[in-house]
Amino acid sequence: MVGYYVRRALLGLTLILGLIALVYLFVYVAPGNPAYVWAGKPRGPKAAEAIELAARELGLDQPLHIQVASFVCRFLTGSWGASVAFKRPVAEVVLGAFKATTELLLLSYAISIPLGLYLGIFMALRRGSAADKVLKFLSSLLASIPRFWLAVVVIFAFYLIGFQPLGRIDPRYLAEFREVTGFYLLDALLMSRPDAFLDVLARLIPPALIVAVYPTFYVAKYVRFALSEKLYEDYVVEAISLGVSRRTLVMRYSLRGVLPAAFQLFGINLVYSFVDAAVVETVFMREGIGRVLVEGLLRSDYPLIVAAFFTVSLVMLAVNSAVDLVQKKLEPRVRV
Amino acid sequence: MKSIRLAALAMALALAVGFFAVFTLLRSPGPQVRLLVYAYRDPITGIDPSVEFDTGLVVLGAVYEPLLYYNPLTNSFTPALAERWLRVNETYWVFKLREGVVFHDGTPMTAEAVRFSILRSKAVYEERGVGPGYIWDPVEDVLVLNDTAVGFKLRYPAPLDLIASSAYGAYIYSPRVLEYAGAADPADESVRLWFERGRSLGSGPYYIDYYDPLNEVRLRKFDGWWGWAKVDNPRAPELVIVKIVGEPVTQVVGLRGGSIHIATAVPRAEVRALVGEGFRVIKQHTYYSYTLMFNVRRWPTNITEFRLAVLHAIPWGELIDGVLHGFGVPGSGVVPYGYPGYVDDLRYEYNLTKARELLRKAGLEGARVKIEIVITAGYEEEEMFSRLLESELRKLGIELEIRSYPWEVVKEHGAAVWRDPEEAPHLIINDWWPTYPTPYDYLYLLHCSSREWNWAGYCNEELDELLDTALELEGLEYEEALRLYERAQRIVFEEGVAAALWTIVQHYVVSPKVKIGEEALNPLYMYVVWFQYVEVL
Repeated sequence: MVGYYVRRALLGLTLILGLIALVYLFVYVAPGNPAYVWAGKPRGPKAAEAIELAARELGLDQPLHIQVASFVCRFLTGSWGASVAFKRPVAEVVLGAFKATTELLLLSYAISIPLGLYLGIFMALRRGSAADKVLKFLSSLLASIPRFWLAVVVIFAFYLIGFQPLGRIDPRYLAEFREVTGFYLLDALLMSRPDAFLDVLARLIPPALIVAVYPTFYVAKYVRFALSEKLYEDYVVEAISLGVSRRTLVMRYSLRGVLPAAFQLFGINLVYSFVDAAVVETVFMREGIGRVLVEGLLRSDYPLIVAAFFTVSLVMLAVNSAVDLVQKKLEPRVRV
Repeated sequence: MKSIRLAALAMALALAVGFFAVFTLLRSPGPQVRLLVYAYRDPITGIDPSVEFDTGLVVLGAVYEPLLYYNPLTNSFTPALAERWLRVNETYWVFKLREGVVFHDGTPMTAEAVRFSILRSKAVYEERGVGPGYIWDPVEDVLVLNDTAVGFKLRYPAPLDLIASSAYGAYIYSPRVLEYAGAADPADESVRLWFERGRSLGSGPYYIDYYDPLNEVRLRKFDGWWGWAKVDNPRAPELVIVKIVGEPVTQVVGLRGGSIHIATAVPRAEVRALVGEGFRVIKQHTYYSYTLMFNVRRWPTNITEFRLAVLHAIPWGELIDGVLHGFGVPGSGVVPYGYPGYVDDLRYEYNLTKARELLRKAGLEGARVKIEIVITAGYEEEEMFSRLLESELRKLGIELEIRSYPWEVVKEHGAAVWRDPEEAPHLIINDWWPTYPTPYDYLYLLHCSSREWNWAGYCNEELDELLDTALELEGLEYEEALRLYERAQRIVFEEGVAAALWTIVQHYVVSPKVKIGEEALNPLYMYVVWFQYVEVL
């Protein structure tokens, strides 16, 4: 097991190194000039000189391979530098946004995992019934609806009942609110303000539900399909003929064979959830890693873009490793 | 399976708590604070008062003060940190400073602080080429006469009162920033980075409490501001949140739901509906101008007659109502309406017959010509204008390809005209708002030395000389300088190199719970709201 994690960490490191270099190259060939952005849109007779100086400061006057190598080295030694566009330490910008996205994704998956499994089992046990057909239709529909549209509909629905879930917290709390951890639910509790906690939660649930839609129904469809298949396997048919109920069979035996793959799917879906979160955060006026990426891309802010990708990749690596562990625990035959 | 049931139960519980929270909050009055949420469209690009030259103005305007404010609409100055000022002779000015002013860290505002701030702006520009410090080019030295008076020794005559009221680069702050940043040299990059961490050291009515340039900036009322007694506004906001809301539709949703009080980017087509719902609209005349520029180094826009033909194919009469829904003023020449140097009769007429005649003169009548225009993505007015132009040019047999990019990329395409004219588009739209009130600020876009902003690639020695002479004359014979600027604009007009399409009338949509005083807005300071004049009802 230890060997597996060492191998995994080495592979992850290689992947991340490649990713940093690749993202740098993409930004290099993409239109836009980071030196111009770093110089702050200079005007006046010295504008050209300012851009040249900025290019030197950023090392953009060096040959490409040296630029990539020095950037990767600096990055891996923890020197992430300042955002080209916003002149703030990149680590600070990315970490702040990442906390906001994590809060959203944690709740999304807290909803999605049990709900996806439950719906999948429910549909498998009632395969062919009206309830199964309705849920199948709903799952296809909801999984394919654009998330930004769903977000607008949800905001409108809440607006009709007189509540607007925009932002992470009611701005009126900001007069006394202090960010300690950057996770607003936790910070509200640390302030001993249950009203602020409820406010944060109420604003978190609608976007979390939207982000949860895709993984929930994706996994539900998989569980339904995989369980239905299992229900026709010889051991199940024989057990049923011996009088064991289908429910008991599913819960005690068949589900075990389905869960590992279901958790793998949740892990894989996390990438899509990051994309969904970026869209949903924009519509709900929430900060987050998606916003950082979009603004970075618009401004050729390569330290910011790389840092955001790096952080998301690290999370993906960690989550997928954790999923492997869960898979191993659920299915002893799995070798990692 | 038990664990799944438990998890499902926990989830159901969490949802129940969430919905309970919603309904509890609906009934609860919430915390009481005099709060104002101001929705702005673009992220803040910086908050160093000597360096920032873009969207940071929205924050700087509330946190820092210059020596004077100037309003081009009324052609009048308002004292800020200077109470009185005197032009002693052509190259020497004296400013008497306001007494009892303190910066946000409690240190008093003195003549030394004025000297430090201005010389830092100048030094940063001279050493690194960044920021708006070039506006202080005429200043040879700032002399500390005593604690409350400074003298400006100029290298050449200049309208120092106008320069001192600049929207950028003229803010005064505490010299203790050096100590806080651990820097010895005012132009050191560490000073800039100290500010960019979200710190403020101005004397304005608000200070920065929280700074996240991508999402929001929180400003808190500074009780030590010298002007509170004068403004006498007990309903001024205690907390201002400058919220970055890029999506115009979200600004509308925020207004309707009460989470935004002042919105700056509501789609123009929505304004009437919002007024019907009780929102107020403040129309502010601005100097925010959109200029159409022609690439004079690439065929066929290198042919004067062709450029003029395109300009005569623009349905000028439809632009304000059709494109801007009435929120604009037609362009004339290059300098915007109401600004010093504006000339009223430099307008092209929409005349397709004349356009065809010009094309014939250019030898392009009946030829299949394809040109491209680059516009900024997300700017609905530029998109609508391009579509309109596309349809009109089609009548002349000219195909227009519209390319829309983020602003930074638009700029790259524009500046490419000097490197490789074939890479630069034939047409490009440059949106521009002023630094300090001089026509030079707009006409500089066509100066041959302006390699970063002259997206036409236009070089005309006569024009450059007119502009340079006019700038030098501004401090001596202002009227004569304006005449030279007018001549320069006539050259541009006759050659059809660039034309202002319109000047924006900025619409602020305001919640019924907020009242904006007349003094809160000044067109020279684009998107700045002086919140001390805003009442939260």
